[in-house]
Amino acid sequence: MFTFLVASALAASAASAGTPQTGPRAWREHDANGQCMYGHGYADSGRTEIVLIANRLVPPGHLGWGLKNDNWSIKAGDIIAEPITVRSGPISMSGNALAMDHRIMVIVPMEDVRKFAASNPAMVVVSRGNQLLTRLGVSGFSAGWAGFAGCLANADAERARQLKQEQEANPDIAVDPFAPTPSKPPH
Amino acid sequence: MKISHAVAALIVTAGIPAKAQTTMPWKAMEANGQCNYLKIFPDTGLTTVGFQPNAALDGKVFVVITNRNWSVAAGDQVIGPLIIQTAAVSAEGVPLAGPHLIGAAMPADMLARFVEADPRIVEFRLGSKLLTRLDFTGFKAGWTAFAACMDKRPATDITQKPLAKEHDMQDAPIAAKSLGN
Repeated sequence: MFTFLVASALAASAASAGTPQTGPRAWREHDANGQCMYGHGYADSGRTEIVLIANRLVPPGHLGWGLKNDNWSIKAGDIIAEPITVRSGPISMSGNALAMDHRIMVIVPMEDVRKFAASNPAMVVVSRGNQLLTRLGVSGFSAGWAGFAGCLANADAERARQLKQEQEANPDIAVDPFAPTPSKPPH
Repeated sequence: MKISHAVAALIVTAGIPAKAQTTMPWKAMEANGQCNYLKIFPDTGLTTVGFQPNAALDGKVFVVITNRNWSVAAGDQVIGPLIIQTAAVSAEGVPLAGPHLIGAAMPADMLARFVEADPRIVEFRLGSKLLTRLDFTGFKAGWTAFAACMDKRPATDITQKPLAKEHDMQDAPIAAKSLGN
């Protein structure tokens, strides 16, 4: 079960946003419609694309790895029962995934992606459980990371601004009504 | 019921508003053989409300509301009922918790009653606790597409007409509150 419903969902917008504005071999960061993307396209038969996505659907502290391959028959609404793992050497990023047409989106902790970026990775292996899905060269990923990280920082600031507005407009509604009630200080 | 999967599938299929301030209309869609009526709201929680008449629930309407700011998790014990109410109508059901969401099966006639009321401001409560207040403008306007989805479903999938108006309103025990609709 994905941790964030929608959360996961997130993945969401991948259906429309998952296409990086980039040609083969180039890692490019792209800020469009309030979401940050960082992706790469490949000139294989499936026209594979891999893209990191941060948007309102991705839970705070997480990023979405979107993978598209035109040869994959997966479609929106399919259930991916096993976790998807994106691995590079000792770094493993894993999470539950959502399905879209020819695409999957897996939500992983942002900290894992930061470690991945810092490792100057050359290749990733993507698997579903024990099944290998694809193996992709990712040279150049770390070189363009700073631009993407800047986009993430801007998005965080914008979210904080909007959250403040919402609280001011609806002071009778808790941001998280399910948060544990703080215990009263002793008298 | 894996409601989180169901909701995620809905949202993925429905798409999301591209910008935070963009409001998408109410959307009717079919997923996994069920007709759904949902809307994603452009707030920081990406609040999503979905209605799904479900044959597996004897035609009751499964109502789910998600908000990514909510810390509620699957298996959490939540004190209900989950109530959806406008100034004119209300419905409630026993709540189920999922990751960042609450859902409940509600009376089969609740959708018809809400459409008729053409609600604007709608509140969701968990017992006496106000969860959120949402603008349902367009709820009635988008209804035709949803009705069309229901009409084309195989009759064998439907144990009872989920949108039939029930004359017995015993299932709506919450008194209409003044919400200023």
